[in-house]
Amino acid sequence: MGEVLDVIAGALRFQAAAYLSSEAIGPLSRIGLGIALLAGLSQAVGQAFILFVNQVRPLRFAISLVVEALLFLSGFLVWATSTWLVAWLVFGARVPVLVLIRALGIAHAPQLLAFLGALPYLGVPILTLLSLWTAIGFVVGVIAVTDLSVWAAFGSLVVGWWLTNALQRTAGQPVMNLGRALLDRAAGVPLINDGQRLERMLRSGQLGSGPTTLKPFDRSPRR
Amino acid sequence: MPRRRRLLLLLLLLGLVALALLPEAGLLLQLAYTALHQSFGLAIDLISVGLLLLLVSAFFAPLEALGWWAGWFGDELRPPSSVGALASPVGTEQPVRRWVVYLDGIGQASMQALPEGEDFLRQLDERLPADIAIVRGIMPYSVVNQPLTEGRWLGQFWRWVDRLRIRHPQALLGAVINLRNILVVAVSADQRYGPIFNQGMAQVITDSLLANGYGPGSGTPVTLLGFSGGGQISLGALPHLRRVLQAPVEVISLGGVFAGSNQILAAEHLFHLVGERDRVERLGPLAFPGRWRLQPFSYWNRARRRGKVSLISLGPVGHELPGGILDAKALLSDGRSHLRQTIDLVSAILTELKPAELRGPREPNNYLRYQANSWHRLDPNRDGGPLPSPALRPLDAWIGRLILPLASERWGGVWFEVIHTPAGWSQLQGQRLRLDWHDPLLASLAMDVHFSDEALQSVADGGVHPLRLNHWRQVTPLESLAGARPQDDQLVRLPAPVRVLPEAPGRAAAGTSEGPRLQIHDEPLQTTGTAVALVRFEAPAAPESAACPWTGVTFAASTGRFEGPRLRLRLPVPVLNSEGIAPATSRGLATAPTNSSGWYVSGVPDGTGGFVVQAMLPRSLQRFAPERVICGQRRAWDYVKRQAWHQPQAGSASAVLVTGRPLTEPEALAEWQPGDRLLVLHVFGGIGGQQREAALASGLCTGHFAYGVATLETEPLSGELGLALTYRQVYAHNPDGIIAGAQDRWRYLGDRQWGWLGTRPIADILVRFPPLTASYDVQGHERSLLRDFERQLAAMTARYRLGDGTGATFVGPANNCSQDSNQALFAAIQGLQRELRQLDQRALRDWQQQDPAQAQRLRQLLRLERELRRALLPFAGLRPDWQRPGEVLGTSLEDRPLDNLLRGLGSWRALLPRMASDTVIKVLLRHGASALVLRANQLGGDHPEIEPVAPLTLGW
Repeated sequence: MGEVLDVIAGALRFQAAAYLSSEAIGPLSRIGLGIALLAGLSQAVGQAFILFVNQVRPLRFAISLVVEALLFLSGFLVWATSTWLVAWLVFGARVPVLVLIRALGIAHAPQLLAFLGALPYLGVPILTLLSLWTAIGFVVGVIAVTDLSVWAAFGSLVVGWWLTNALQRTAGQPVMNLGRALLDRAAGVPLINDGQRLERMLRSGQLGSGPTTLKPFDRSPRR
Repeated sequence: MPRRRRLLLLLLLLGLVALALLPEAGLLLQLAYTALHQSFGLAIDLISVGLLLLLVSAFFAPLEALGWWAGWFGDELRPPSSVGALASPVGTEQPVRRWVVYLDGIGQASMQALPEGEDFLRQLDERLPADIAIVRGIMPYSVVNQPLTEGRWLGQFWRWVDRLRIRHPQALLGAVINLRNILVVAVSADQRYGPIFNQGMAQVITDSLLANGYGPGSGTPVTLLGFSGGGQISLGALPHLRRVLQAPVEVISLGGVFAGSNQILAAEHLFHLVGERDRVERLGPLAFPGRWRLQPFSYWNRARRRGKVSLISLGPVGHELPGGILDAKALLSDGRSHLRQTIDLVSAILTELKPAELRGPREPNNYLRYQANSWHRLDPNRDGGPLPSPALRPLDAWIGRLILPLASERWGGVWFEVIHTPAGWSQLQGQRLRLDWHDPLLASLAMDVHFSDEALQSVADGGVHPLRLNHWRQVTPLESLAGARPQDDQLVRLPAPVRVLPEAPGRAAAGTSEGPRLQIHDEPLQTTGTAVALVRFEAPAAPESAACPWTGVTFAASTGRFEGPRLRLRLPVPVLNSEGIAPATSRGLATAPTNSSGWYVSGVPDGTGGFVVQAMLPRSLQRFAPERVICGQRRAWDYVKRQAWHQPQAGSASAVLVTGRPLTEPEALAEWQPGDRLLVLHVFGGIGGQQREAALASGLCTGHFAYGVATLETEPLSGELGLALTYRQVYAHNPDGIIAGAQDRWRYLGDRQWGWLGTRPIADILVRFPPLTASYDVQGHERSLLRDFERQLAAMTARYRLGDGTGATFVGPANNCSQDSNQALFAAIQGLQRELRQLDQRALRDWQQQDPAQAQRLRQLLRLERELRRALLPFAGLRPDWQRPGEVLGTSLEDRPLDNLLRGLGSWRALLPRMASDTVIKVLLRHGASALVLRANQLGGDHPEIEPVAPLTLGW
């Protein structure tokens, strides 16, 4: 346990050794996936208000958090693999795919704190700060396990991200739909995610679950 | 020094981050912690535990609101009694004038406010009149109105803390309640949780108001009185309350701590009372970026710029006890306690008229200035006198003055003081009759009027607004016309048919005779003068300053020459406007080129055998006698677009007939026949030259646009084919007292004090296009698109007069004269289409076969509509208000700057008045319409101080 905490603390401080560039050390071989999964869960908790807005029931709420974490993990794996492909094919980095996945997983360490995003008022700036922190971690992580320059590492990440996005919109569409369907199934309601629709839903005049006593009446002139 | 403090805070934060990132920082921190722990041991541990607990409670703070929204708690958390209660019972003898809802500070744990809060409420209630009700007992930090001390699993704990705190106000543990409630304030200010929490609070407040007798839909104003954190809760709930209650809501904040991202603009007003020693209130401007000056477009900063916020200083007063806003013991230098001062201020705000309402214009506006011209002021005794010569004919059958009824005698109509009657009704002259405007369309246009702060600000800035209607309920379009100005001084013609309804027999028998009632079906026409003549001016024999120096030789229709009886005329010197520009002048009038063909003059008898010329229009603009005829689409368009406005010369006028079809000149002229109805497009330009108007300071002249309707008819004084023209002015509130609505050419253009003919270049384009201007016989009903359009414009102008209930209409890119006039055009066309779609298809086919010419016209109209829509509404998605009319008009640009601009661009060709006119004319010409283009540039006497400026348009 102490070793795991050391790795996380190192990653938070961008220490290259933390990203385990050498061979896997015993129980730490799967640490990358573990951190990414927990980061996913933490993020799901941080963003849980979307589940509340969609009026998800308590048990389904808990299941949804787990499903969201798993979906996050699978998304992470696709993205890490794309990044590895780009680093190898475009920038000629020679590193086993598992090592890069592990490094990027560990780089998610700041996102373990993403549950703090649920804090009122301070949550949003905290999330922004964490994203920045994580992004730097990604670059440092890639550099630590490959021999790429800063710009090449950055390039691999961005192109890898773009590739993942392109995949999601094209060949990966059915998989994405499956993921969405899974989440809706877990939540028990079709989840509304995008900001504008959420806002409309909130402002639709329905005053929560409490007894609605007054509907606004239309005072504007009609013709 | 909040700015310096912010900077320090930021540096500290950056330093900490940098420290954490330094190599070996962990070791350093550990060392520091060990050192501290050795010295302060237990305290450090306690603080660490406290911080951890704080973090945990912050994490769970939004849970109550979120769970409420998601329905996790069912209705268990809200027993039926969990609504606020009245501070004291309300008497039934008079209705409640205003509801006040008290939201206590962050110290509140139970349904009771803190002792000092209870004291404050009791004394305030004693001070306020009986028709102001106070609702109290709301727990502002719970969406389910659940106090901390009851029905919660930590209830026992909170009760203990509450008791402890009341016994020992200085006990540190008492701060736990404050901390818990501060976290809820943060929830209310959070951009994600806020909308949910604030809706919940709005619901609690609404429930409490209703439970205590608030009439749903009554529109009775509500004041949210928030102390400390209650300020944020009030402002958060405000927009939701406003939407649900459809009533004005204002906020009084007592040392309120609130974010700048609340929709303060939705408030009627925010009164923010702050003491100089208030350290808690200062958290707001420090912690919430929306309150920083760095964010000029935050709701807070915009509300301040728009005068929505009054900051009221309480002097050397702190926040909480001792020495706080509600402290009954601490005394001010004038001997009053802090509490007394707060009660004085709050009750003054609640009972007295707002300072802004008492303000008139800071400087006399044009409307007030023009009152000095007694010959142009309405004087029913003088104006109704006998006409001095048979060469004058009455302007219309029914002419009179509109009088706004008293609030206590309202019935939906207005009084009409009769100045001129048709034959047979002369016994009614001088009487005050009830006038009703009967049109089902207008019933839905009645609206409550509550002046916005912006409207009151505009009054102070010199705008003429319907102040007399402020706080009236369901004001009708006729009332808004009569009450548009501070005085009953609008002369109107009643459009035919005017029905004279005998008075109810009961009234006559009861001796409360009011005479008959008048009923009309169209809007009264604002006009100038009661009689009209066609004259040629002769140079004055006496100096112009003499009382009645002018002579007008009238026109003899029998000979076609100016050789009729001579009239003694007064041409009063108009009062200069606030920019020093004379609205009209009579210098060199007799020798001006327009005088050769004569002037129509309108006015009133002067009581001494002379005639006061209040308005004048050149004969060349009042008849159908084009100097040129231009045929063919391209040439016609070129004239309208370029030549008509090319280098306008002051004192010149022209009348040119253009047609989009390749006709010969006689063919083009022969089409225009008496009885033809015409669509009018009016545009005016700017006043330039030595006395250039201030509106042209930017160098751009946008001008003004209006639609109107004209009829070709034989004019009795000249025997010629004349033009009877009415404008439908969609006109925002202004310092001249021009009222949006149906305006006669006499008033709007020809009036020598109030009109534009003498100072501005104008174009009146009269379009003849039978598919648009003729009527249709649909299954026995006569349907006229032009008539529908007039009604739509009547509705639009009625909304403009009241600013949709806010008392003011402002000009912006999305809402202005040309945008909203064209919006009315679309509404009319859509109405006809809807009606045709509802017809039985077989009946429609039969109808088309029976009257192929009519069917052909209809097809042309539909083609025209499609093309007009493409031209005027290229981005339909940006203008939902044009597709679904009924949105609020003419909000100021600041309200939603980007949205307003985008909307304006959705119909960008209607953005500029002349461009709108050009666009419509171009489409019409392409469809084969013909048009009489009348142009005039600053007509009347010599006026070398000013020059005409053509309005801006864009070429394409």
